[in-house]
Amino acid sequence: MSDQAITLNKTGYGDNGHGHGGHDHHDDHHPKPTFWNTYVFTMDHKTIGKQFLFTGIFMAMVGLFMSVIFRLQLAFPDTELPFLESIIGKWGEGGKMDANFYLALVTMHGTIMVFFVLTAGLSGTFSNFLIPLQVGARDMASGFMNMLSYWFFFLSCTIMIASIFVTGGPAGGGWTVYPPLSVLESANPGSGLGMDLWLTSMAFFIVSSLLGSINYITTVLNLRTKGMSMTRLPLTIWAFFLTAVIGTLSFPVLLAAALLLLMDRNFGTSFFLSDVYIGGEALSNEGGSPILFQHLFWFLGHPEVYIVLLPALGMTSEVISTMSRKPIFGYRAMVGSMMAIAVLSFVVWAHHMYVTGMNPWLGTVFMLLTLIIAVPSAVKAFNYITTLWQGNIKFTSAMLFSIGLVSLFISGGVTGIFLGNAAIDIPLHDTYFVVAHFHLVMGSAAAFGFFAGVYHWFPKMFGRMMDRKLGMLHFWLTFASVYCVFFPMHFMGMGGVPRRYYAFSAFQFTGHEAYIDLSIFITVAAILGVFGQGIFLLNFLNSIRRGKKAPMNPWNANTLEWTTPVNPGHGNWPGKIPQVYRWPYDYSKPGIKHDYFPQHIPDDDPNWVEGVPEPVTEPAVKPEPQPEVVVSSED
Amino acid sequence: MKYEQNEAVLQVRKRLVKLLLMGLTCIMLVGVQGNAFAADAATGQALFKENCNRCHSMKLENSSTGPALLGVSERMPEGDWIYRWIKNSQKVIQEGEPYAVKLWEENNRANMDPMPHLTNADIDDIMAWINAYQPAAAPAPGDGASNTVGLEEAEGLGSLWNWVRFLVFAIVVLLVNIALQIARLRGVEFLAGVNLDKLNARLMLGFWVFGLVAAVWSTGLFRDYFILDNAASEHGQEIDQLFWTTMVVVIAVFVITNTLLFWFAYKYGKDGDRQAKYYPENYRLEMVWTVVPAIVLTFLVIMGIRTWTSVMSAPDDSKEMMAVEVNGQQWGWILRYPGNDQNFGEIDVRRIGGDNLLGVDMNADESKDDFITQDLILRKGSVIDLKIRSRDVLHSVYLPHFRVKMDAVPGMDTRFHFVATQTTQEYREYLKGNGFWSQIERMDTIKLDTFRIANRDTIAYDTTIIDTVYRYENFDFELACTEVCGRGHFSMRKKVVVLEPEEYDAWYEKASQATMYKAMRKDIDPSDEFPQLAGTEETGGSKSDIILE
Repeated sequence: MSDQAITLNKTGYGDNGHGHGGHDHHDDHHPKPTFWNTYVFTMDHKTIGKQFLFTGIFMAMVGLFMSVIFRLQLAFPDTELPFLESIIGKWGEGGKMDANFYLALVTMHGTIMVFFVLTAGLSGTFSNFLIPLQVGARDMASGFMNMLSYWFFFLSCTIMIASIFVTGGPAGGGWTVYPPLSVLESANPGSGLGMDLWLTSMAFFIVSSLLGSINYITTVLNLRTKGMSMTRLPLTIWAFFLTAVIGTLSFPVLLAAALLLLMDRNFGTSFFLSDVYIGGEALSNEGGSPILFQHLFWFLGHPEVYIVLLPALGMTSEVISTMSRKPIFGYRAMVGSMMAIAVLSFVVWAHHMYVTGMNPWLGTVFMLLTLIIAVPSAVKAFNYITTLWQGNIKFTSAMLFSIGLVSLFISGGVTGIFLGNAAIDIPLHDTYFVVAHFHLVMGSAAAFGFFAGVYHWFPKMFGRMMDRKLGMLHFWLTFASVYCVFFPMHFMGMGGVPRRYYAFSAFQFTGHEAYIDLSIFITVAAILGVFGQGIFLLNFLNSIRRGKKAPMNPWNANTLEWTTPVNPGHGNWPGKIPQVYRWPYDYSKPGIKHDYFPQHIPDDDPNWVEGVPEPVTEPAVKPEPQPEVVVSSED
Repeated sequence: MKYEQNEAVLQVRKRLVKLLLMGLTCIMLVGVQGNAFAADAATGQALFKENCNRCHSMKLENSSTGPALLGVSERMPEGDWIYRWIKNSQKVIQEGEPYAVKLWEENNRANMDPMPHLTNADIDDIMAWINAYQPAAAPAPGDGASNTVGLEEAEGLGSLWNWVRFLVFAIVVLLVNIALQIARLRGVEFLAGVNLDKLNARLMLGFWVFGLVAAVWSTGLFRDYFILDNAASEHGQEIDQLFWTTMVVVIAVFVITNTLLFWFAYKYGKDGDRQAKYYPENYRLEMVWTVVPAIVLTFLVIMGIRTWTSVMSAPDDSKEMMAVEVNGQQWGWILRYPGNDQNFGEIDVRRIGGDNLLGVDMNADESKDDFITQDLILRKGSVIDLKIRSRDVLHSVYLPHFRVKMDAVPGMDTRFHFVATQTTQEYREYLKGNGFWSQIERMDTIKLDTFRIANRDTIAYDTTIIDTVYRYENFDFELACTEVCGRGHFSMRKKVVVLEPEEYDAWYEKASQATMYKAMRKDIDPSDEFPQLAGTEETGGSKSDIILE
């Protein structure tokens, strides 16, 4: 057995047949499993994935909670809400939220959601969990770096959460932390210790992200099992791979920006400062440019959108294909469009800066490049829709969220055509139109991808099923809530209402009472949506302990992770790693006895392929008796 | 297996859950109603908050936009004066009532918003609260109790009800959750025997149909507030045209793709017998939906580049120019005009101090005739050369009605050129045709909290007063900030007034007479020093035309 494993495992890991990866060579003995090395400082990719998952969910709760608090301010600007004081203390004295704290909440909500939930929580969880399982590897290329990646992330979370509690409050200049506001404490109290912590936290976050990304890239390139050529990779893996490439190339730039900002703040440099008069005196800084920071920030900031979105699109492709019982339509076009998106994502960043005073000629170039990105996005959307066509759709919770994602991706994506157009961006820039756009296309769509992933791979993660009916309730509540919250925001955007406003009463064009009614509607919808997430959380936690036991391949899917035991151990496959014979999307293929045809089944297996005579020899892997698609609570 | 559980127990549980939900709903409703039965002064406080707090501080000893109201009962004339004043103060002033005129003069001729929807009883309630109010006795700074106000009982009651409503809401959420969980664990099957695939397939289609209807209907609700259809500037009209052209494309794509998505989800929902079609690729189809979007986008890009270039390119020399400088600072704008020489004095932040708000070079000749104004006054038909600066953090100059937006960057001057095509007065005329703006001012508050109407039979507002002021008469162009800049970001307002060229020139002539030194002084309100524009006061010039005094 041992020699077979070595031939299959192309890296040349010594695989001793006990099923653990070869990464712990520093210790000749198999380390004794203890609580600490099993659950805490683990190097097992599956456990690390779950660590990212739990941390991500915790951060999501914090981020969502913040949004509810500031939504209350927007809906009831004149009402005293005494409970605010008991939640946010001095910032809510007398039941009125402090304007600085409003900005701090908006900032932290954005930061936490974009980086900690949708980057680390989504990509960190599923890249870690799925890459080795789906490419057929025992573990990540470097289990140790993988462990470091999580613990840097944990450190980063701790610092970010701690920054909420410092004097002056957390960073409050928007998640984009534009200087000079983010440099000058006298301009904004959040730009004190809170901002230093923000930057420190982000620096650790970037370290974590890079450690993870390098690992993902290496694993995908080097640790694929026999027969798993790049063109046979599931789209999930393609998505994770491209995401990691984008992250590796763009996150360092943010690190540079963060360090320069730290120096401007603490060491008297002038990278981003010039001609500033604040707190009763003119600063001596001269020659810096705030625009420079924006270029550095958005050089990460825009690819970041795709770092968030691609994994969600990848997982959704997998789910939609499996649950429609159809091959994903246009596999090559899907890969190609993801590659196109990945490349283009690096050359569109300045569309966030049309009206910053940047040379207008640049605006035309970036407008052209930005609108080109709509083409691969359209291809993806059409391919999803065609995959559904003439399928036999099973509405599992994961499938519901995947269809939801496609709808949100379209609805949020089309408004990008307005915003990417520099001329139209003039009236719409920094209004609620933008808030609506990116919350639909990036925030909600990615969150839906996250949920699809959790529901779909939960059986592999915890060996149990989540409750389908609660999942359904969760989906419909969330889907309705998302549209109720973000769709009407377009109206405010078309009325010109700027974002990041503490109240709308100061202006005639923003002060319409109808907008107050709308704000109340949005806030109520948001609270109901958050309630929906409570259902998810209960379902999730409950199912871990009490969910129905999962079968080995609950969705009758083709990919390799379903060939592992229900609770895969260290090393993933107890025996040798299966070999791969085809792409992962042969669903409902004519001439096949079942409506799926897993990657590891040889083409001449008589249990699967019609017209093949009964074998003289045993088939490589016996198909387990397959029931109709098994779904949680029904049986 | 679970279905085999005792049917009777299931029924009871289901009923219990229903009862629980109904009960809680009732409690919530009662919670809402509760406010209506509070004491007079408490009602007054609520009314005050709702109607007066926009301008008058709830801490009556403090002045806000409007004057402090502590002890107002002792100052004001007796009788029905207060009713008339609150319902329509302008009318009282026009009638020449001496105390009213005095108030008006004292408050820089700012008009109080008319409140025709308040009944005499409402006003009595408000006065009851004002009379009962006790200012806080020298609260210690930072003391948690510093917001103590008079009438603590009423306050306490209000807070209590807020608490109750919040708690009830939280409890409902919690209980529904718990109920669902318990039910599940005990084996109660919700949706037992329902084909979930069919149900979801139907819900998909239902969601889309309902969503489309809701989208169309709600667009109607907010249509009147869209500002994207009558730009008051030349380039703005181009942008609007492009916006609506794009909108046609976007709506088409949005509706077609979503319809296909939800329709397929409905149509191909799981059906045991059907074999899904093995259909992995179709090169021709892929080409179609690569090339068609590419072509459509090419058109949009070309139009976009053309518009963007024309907006951003250097202005046409043949047109008259007018220059104005907008200086952003935390949290307001300083508006500077170059004076007769058409040249601005140089600015350096290191010179800021004392009277010199902008850091202007006081010795330079160009500076001598520069002047600062309260409102942004623009000349119709000229190319407006907007020079944009910031002295502290990033701000962004935003003139929504003119489709102008450009960041104010410390250390880097930015500009925006545009031509205003409509005067304030012309825009007001245009708004006559708008469903919202053509209505009578404050009509929206006649909603009057429906429960208040329901609980009192006295709906008595004077229709003869309210038909005098239309919303559009108070319309003003505005200047706002769209780059987050700290706590006051949401309130960086300046009024923008567009004048006919001859009006503007006359105003400019007069304004330039003032010396720069005066203009730069912060203790002098420039609006006092410069020729006053009727109708440019904060609350607007009601029906009067904008004319020079």
